Amino acid sequence: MLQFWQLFQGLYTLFTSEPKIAIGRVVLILLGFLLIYGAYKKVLEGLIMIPMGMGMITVNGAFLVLEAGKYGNIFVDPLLSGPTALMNILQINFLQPIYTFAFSNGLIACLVFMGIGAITDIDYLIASPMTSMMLAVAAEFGTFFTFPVALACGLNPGQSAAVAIIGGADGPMVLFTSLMLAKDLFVPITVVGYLYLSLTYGIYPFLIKWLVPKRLRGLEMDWRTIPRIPRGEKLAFTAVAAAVLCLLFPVAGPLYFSFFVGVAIKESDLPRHVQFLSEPILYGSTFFLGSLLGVLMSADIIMNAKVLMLLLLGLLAILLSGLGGLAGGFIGYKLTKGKMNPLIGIAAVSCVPTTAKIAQKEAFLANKWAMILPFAMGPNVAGVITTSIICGIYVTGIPMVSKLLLGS
Amino acid sequence: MSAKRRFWLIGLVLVAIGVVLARVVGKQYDQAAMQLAMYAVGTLLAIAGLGFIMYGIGKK
Repeated sequence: MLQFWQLFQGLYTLFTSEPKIAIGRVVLILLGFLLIYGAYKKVLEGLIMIPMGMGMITVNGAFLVLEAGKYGNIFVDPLLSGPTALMNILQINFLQPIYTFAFSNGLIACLVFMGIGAITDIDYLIASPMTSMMLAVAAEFGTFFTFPVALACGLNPGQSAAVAIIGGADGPMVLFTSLMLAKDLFVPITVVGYLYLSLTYGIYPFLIKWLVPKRLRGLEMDWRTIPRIPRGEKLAFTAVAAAVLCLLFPVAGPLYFSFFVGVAIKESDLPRHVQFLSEPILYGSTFFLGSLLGVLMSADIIMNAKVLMLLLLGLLAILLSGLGGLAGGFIGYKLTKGKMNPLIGIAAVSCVPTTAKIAQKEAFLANKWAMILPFAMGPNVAGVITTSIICGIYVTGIPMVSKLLLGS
Repeated sequence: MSAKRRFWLIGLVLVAIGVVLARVVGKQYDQAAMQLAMYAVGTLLAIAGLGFIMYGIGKK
């Protein structure tokens, strides 16, 4: 009888694993269905949520008995380390090559950034650098506030910084910070760092609806007030900004390269390159990013105590950054005497271009004439810059401060 | 010299001073506090330089 059940290992493992894992699998499968339904109903972003939901359903269904009686799946093993173990698993887990060679080293995020750069207009950032930077600083609230909270939870300063940077909502920055300051937590933070994507798509629209009255959400902004800047000047600025930021914060160099190469290609008027970056590269990498996020939501990974604590701290960071961004938006609304749509504030959480798209979508739902995307892209790009500055400050400053304290 | 070029020039000078302060001068000090201070001042100066350039480009 037992051998008969072992033929259907998805069910067999459900009834024979620890209760918390079994319940976790069922809950995550149901959550996967919910994500797909939400995406179908256009409540959630389908581009990420459909592959993610499918990933969650399948990975939590497809548990099986691996060698030595251990339960797991043959999708991906993110918590694996060591070259021999990795080489062995690369031949078994079908998504492991993409996870190991494109996800955990930040390549997939850089590819997304190249595509995003190719569709980003930096006109508003150049026209209103101060407003954009002010909003971006406000939207880093989670990055600053989570740091002492993580310290209070017992993490060391490096680990706390690596978790707090999740508030910046920039995957590659999270990877770099954890690699530099918390090598021991690199893998769990890799998993958690990327889950922020689903949080921004899933939670920010509700946060907006809850905190911003419909009248303000639908506030129209005249995009014709954004000055038209000659391509040559934008290209020159792009090259200078990339050089300066790389000189100051080499740690975020790959990200700067990826983003600014996309912008430079757009401003150089190379339509085939723009199409290549903004369609196959952007959509292809977004699809695999969504799929990998889904399969990483496996009960045995999520129910890990360390991952769960990081997940909660990451959630806190991303929520506080969203609140800070909206607070910045309200300040901007007051300062401009009601001319600025406060939703632009949440676009300063630098999850490019997700948060800008969320802001536009919510504005459109409140008023179909509200076109705020060109304005939202300014703080959105400024957010990338501020997150990299904070990343640079953490990576450079924490060892310095530790040295200073130890020295005294 | 046009106003735009002046902004570009001043911005680039600020950026250069900022980068040198943050990446070169800071490392000459032995005390971590001075290194940190130079890094912070240099970074702010370089970002202000970029802001200056952006302001110049945005000017009609």
